[in-house]
Amino acid sequence: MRMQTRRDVLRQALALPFLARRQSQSAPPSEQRVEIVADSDLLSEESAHGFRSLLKDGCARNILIFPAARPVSRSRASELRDCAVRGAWIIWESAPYYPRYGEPMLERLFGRKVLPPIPTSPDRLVSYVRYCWPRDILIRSFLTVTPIECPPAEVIATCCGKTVGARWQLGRGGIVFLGAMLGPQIQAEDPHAREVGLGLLRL
Amino acid sequence: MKKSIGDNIFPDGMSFEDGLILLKRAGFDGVELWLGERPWFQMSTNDSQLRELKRKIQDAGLEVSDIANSLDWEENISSRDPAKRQAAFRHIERQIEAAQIFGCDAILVVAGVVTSDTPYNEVYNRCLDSLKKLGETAAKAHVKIGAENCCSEQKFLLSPREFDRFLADVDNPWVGIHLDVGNIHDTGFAEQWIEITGPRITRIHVKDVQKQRGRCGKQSVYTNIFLGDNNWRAIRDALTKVGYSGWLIAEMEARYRYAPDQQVYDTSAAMTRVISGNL
Repeated sequence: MRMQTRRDVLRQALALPFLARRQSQSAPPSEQRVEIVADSDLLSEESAHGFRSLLKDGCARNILIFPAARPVSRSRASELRDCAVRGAWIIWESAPYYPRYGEPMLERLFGRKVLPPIPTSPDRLVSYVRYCWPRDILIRSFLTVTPIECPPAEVIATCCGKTVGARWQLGRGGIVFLGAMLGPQIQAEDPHAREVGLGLLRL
Repeated sequence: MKKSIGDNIFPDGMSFEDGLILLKRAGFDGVELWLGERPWFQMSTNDSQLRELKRKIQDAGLEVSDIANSLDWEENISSRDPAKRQAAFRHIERQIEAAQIFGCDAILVVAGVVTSDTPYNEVYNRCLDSLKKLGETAAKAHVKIGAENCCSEQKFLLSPREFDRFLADVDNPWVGIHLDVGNIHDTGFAEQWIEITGPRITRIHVKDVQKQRGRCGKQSVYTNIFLGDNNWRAIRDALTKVGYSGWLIAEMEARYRYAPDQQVYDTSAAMTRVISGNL
């Protein structure tokens, strides 16, 4: 049996009834769904496992989660943007290990500039990321954090004085950018990470 | 958070009263009293003498942060010798009584010492039984028992998850952990201990540790705050994360060969920086 590729998963996700192009722009979604589009690598799977553990609590929106996301092609990114415009929320968890060539895509399509990652652990400068949404809490950082430039109202997390988490509306949906890995912290049973994760599902 | 330090830091020959004045001048809010360590607080010290100590502490403008003891190493609740175990019960119950007299709500114990002839599983079960019993006394007195993590010296409860599991087995909210952030050495990271045991922390001991130094002979791994390998910024953040706002208590080895009172001032200043988060 052929193993399902990331592209297959993404194609299926994009073909979900609530995301399909054929759906009327004014029609409300028929159901709330969460799709986790994980890569076939250990970190992405670990993060996906963390997010998946939250799903039994339900969600309020149609959500696409990209745990430890690697860059996607321009055409895929365009499809994602369309999804958001039609009402889905896209949670983009930036992976710390991969080349950053995908970030210009994020800037072009989502309108926010992603900056080079900042290492936290090796020189022990910072160990925690401060979230201001859904409430003021600290969650451990994950080796590196990826800052993003955005208006102050969109900031949900900071580290080293930089914004490393943001959310903003795009059409009827929106984007959540996580510059610090959250899924592994949920998997590690950090109750605060779980709170943030649940907050994301109730966007 | 408030700052405290043990009365065992008082320079040799200094009276109890002068020691308290030193702490106050250095900026401390409280004092940790060590049962069995200094002549003014022994098992033979009676209640009226304790009340006199309390008056002196109040006159100095200080509080008692907690009651520790230096007797557990000889008389431990995990001992095979029932006489020693009974003695441990007596001095821990005396700590609880003293805490009530001094108006504080926490004591420190070293629960369990594993040796070559007192094996781990024996120690675990004996400590569990003992702390369940002592926990009932503590609950009635409204005084929390904090079992300190003297990981290297005890050879017992060597990881935060294990310590947390042990306390879950004790299953009494009046029995928690008196967490020493300097005692973890090179077997872990203090900030992770704080996160994992957070809700069970009764008090925090602070000192720094040199993780690369061997623990052999008389060579100490302990040093002043900021001189060792602890990640103080992470420790401060972890305390915020778990919502700890109680006492920070310095447990220093008296290291200054000259001007030993200066160590008290330096420790107080370092603790102020830790509390402020300006690191």
